[in-house]
Amino acid sequence: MSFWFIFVRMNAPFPTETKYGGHRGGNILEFYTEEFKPEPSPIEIFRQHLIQWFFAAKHIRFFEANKLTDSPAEEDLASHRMVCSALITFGEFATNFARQTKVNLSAVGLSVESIEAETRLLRNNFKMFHDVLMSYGEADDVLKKAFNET
Amino acid sequence: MKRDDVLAKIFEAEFCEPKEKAQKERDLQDSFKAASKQTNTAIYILQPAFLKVYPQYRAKRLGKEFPELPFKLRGN
Repeated sequence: MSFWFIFVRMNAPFPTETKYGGHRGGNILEFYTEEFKPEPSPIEIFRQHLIQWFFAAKHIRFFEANKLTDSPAEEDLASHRMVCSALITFGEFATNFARQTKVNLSAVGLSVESIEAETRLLRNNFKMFHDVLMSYGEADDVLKKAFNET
Repeated sequence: MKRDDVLAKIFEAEFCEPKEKAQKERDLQDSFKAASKQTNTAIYILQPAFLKVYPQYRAKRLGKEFPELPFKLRGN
């Protein structure tokens, strides 16, 4: 997941004074190149973040398979709890944003419903490793009994 | 319906393309309901049980179906 873009933008020093020839006192061409540099629109940035989010959701499942399936380490469980929570939260915000702004997501093959579905699936991923309702053995027994397995 | 049928639905929903997510997740919910009805077991008991055993199923299936993954998965 890359929220790096937002982080960098938030922490970039804001130029308070524009000098002739550019912010760093460069030549006039540098000034115009900087001033009129095309930037992605907020909608395009949102779409990029969504694509990265789906990618991150897929990768957290590979992480689970690799690190959490058998005898997971405490630090891996803690990492998973934090990242999974962040992904769920992003899913909720993204759903809300997409619904309110009615942003066209079909351009990148997405929909609000797909974001909602992925968010629900991520909640399942959270429960798999942080829900202490039953142990693996108890769950296996429930399913054996339910499906009449010997 | 067997237990692996439901586990397969979870796997499909997790690893399908984003554009298929909504449909695959609906299919998963339907399979939870169908399994609950078939086994006469409350869904609030059955669903957590499936989620608890699913990681073992997934690790084996990933090892078989995605051997090119840069992870040493169990069951490979």
